[in-house]
Amino acid sequence: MSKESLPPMPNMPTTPERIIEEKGIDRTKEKEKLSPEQLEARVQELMDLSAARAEASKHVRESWGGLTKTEREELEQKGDDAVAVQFDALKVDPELAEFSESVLAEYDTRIQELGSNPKVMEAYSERFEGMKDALAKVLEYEHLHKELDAITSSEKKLRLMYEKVGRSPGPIERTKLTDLAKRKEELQKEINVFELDAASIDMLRRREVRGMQQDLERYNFAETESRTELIREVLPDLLHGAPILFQGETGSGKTQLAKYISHRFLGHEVSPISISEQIKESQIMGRVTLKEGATDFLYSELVKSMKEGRPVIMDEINLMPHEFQGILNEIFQLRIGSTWKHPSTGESIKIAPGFVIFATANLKSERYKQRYELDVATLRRFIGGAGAREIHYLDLGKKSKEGEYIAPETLKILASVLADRNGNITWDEKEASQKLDELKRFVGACRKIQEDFTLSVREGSEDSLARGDKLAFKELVITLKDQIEIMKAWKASGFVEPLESIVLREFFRKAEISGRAAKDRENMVKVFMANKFFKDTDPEDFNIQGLSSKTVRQWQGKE
Amino acid sequence: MPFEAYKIYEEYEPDKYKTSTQKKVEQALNSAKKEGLVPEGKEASIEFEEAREIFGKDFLGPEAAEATFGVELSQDEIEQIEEIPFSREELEQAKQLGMMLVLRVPRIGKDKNAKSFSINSVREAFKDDDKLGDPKKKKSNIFYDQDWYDNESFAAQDTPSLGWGLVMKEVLQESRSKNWDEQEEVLKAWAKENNIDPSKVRRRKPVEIIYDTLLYYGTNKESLLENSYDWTGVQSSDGHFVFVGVFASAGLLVLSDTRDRTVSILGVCPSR
Repeated sequence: MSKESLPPMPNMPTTPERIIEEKGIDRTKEKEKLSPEQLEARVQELMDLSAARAEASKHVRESWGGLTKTEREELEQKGDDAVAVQFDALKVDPELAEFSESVLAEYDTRIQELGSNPKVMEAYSERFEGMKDALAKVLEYEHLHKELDAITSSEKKLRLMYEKVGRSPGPIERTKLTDLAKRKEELQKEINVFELDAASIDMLRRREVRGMQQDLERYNFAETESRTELIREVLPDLLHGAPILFQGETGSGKTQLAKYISHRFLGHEVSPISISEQIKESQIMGRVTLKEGATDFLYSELVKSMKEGRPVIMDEINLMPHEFQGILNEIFQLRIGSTWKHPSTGESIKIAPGFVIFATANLKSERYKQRYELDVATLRRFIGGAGAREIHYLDLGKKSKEGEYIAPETLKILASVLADRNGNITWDEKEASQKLDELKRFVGACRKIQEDFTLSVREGSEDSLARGDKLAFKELVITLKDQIEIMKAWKASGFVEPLESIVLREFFRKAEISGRAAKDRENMVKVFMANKFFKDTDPEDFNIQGLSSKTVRQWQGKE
Repeated sequence: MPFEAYKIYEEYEPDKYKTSTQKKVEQALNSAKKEGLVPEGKEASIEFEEAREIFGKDFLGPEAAEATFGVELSQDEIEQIEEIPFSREELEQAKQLGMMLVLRVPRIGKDKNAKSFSINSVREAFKDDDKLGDPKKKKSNIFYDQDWYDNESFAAQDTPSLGWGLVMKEVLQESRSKNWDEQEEVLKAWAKENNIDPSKVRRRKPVEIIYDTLLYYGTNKESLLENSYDWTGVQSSDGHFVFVGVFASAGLLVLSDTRDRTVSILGVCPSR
């Protein structure tokens, strides 16, 4: 198997080069004499401005449907009504638009001033070339990983295909499999000895942050190590149409994970099949209807997905009444290419490529004991045979070598939420350590709540929880989604507002409006206080029924 | 100076971008330390060839010094440097940390042309042209055109001592944007983190930075400290602390500033 080659790096003009070309040289700055220090400071400023300008410009373009100011003006000058209507539909706030445009113009002016000095430009270009070298190395490294992932997945898929009874690889297929294995080994070796310098590692890490931001924007999901591992394990089976069951606590991201896999790896958005205790057979199989005076059979979303090759998701499958388990088990056995006879119409339906069932269920527990339990025969039909893939809160139970609880994957996602597109957080140098501490305490509190919630759901008894220094949470938990929303609000405040005010506003207030679980909220306050939050918060601000000001002050150590 | 988002979780994935050899070396070193197999003191000496094998292009021995600075070692000097004063484990760890092993010789040129290696003598030797780098990518100067330090004692008198040194090839990321005193703390923390006696970790002198940087450039045709300065503990006559670096096409810069200064490109390279 030949090694895939990496395309050459394009030789695009740099931002200052482009601006100088557009605006020309500022003659007043051209011959300015600079000391080495001044030169250094200006080159650094030019680097910072060029990076920030790209970010600012992207924001402006995005708010105008991807068009630059010049492109918009050209279109408007043509007087096309459709263009005007399109711009109106974008509903861009004129004040914000003007601010962004003027900021961009200021960037250009300063870049022009700095770039007009040839010494500054020369030093800038050299440094930029250095960055390009690092980028080339980074791309090469990423390329090796991507190729390895692709080969591993192909190899696994092929092996699975030949695991079927009656199929075995012939001499040509065997050679192909051997080639794949050989190339995989070569790539692994190359990766193992790939030396990265500090600049390349810095760039790789920033790209990872950016990748997560893009995934969050596009899929509302960010893939971290534990999820990547799980996806790698199940993907080959899913591609053959084997169903998968995700079991886990509420808000652990089961549905989101299914949607992500489906959209990203199977190329289709998942179609939801509503499951409830009152579900009717017609909702699973379809129903007779009248069409142009004659009776017709309208297939359900599930059957249509089988025929059209789309993935489906059955949330809370354990709510499905037992009477349907027989038919479901039959459907769970279907794979791409197999044929199924519809019980009502008698039509032989060939399962189209792309069909797969994602099912989710809450973990079997005290809390959900009233719900139907999936029988062993059903569980065995899902990927892995033994039943479900358990999806817990990210980092649940994870500890450092020293035995301290840690939340690396959660922190990684939250870091990408807090960062700008260049992977930087606008924390000032002096306040960075205090903000980082605030963030880690926040994640620590959320983890404790998730851990105790998980235990509460499983064990149920408050007494046994209390013995283990755990608090009972009956229905309320802070999920990763909640944490992301809190981070977004913190970032939007420019990190000026203390994190605890944001938590109070974005989580406690919202939970309070829904009037849910006063005792849960009270326990949450306790957990946050144990993590040094709310030390001076007015007890009235919590507004939790049954929680007296005196108690809060006692927790705060003020009484 | 913004805060890099990845710093929030970086500590949890220390091995993510290491090569398999780097990982193995670290594991072996840690387990040896746990079992008491690597005592604090000096280990058995290591042969040149072994050191060369460990460091690859980051081994800058007598041949490199001769090729770059035209210096020939006397028999006495060879005997003095025959023993590399670091154990195999220390060298393996150093390589993995991104350090180079440098033989410093206090002279430049040979026979009648031999001179003591000072910043001024080396500036004189390389004043005309870039004779060290890749002929296709020549720098316009080896030293940036500056005269402020002509008469400074660190430039006129200081020479490197004969012997081996281990030096980080680039400034520590965490030492950037720190003032001189904060960098001292960074150096201590770095030593502690890597189980190195902090008293053995030091800043280089300006003449050592210049020696090491040019030796690496002459040997590997690659510039170190291209976008950064290494801050020394040596003071110029006005009491400021000297720093050397930004070895770009216009040549190495030597500057100095007050100890409370913080700049993103001003860091420190730990050395032993």
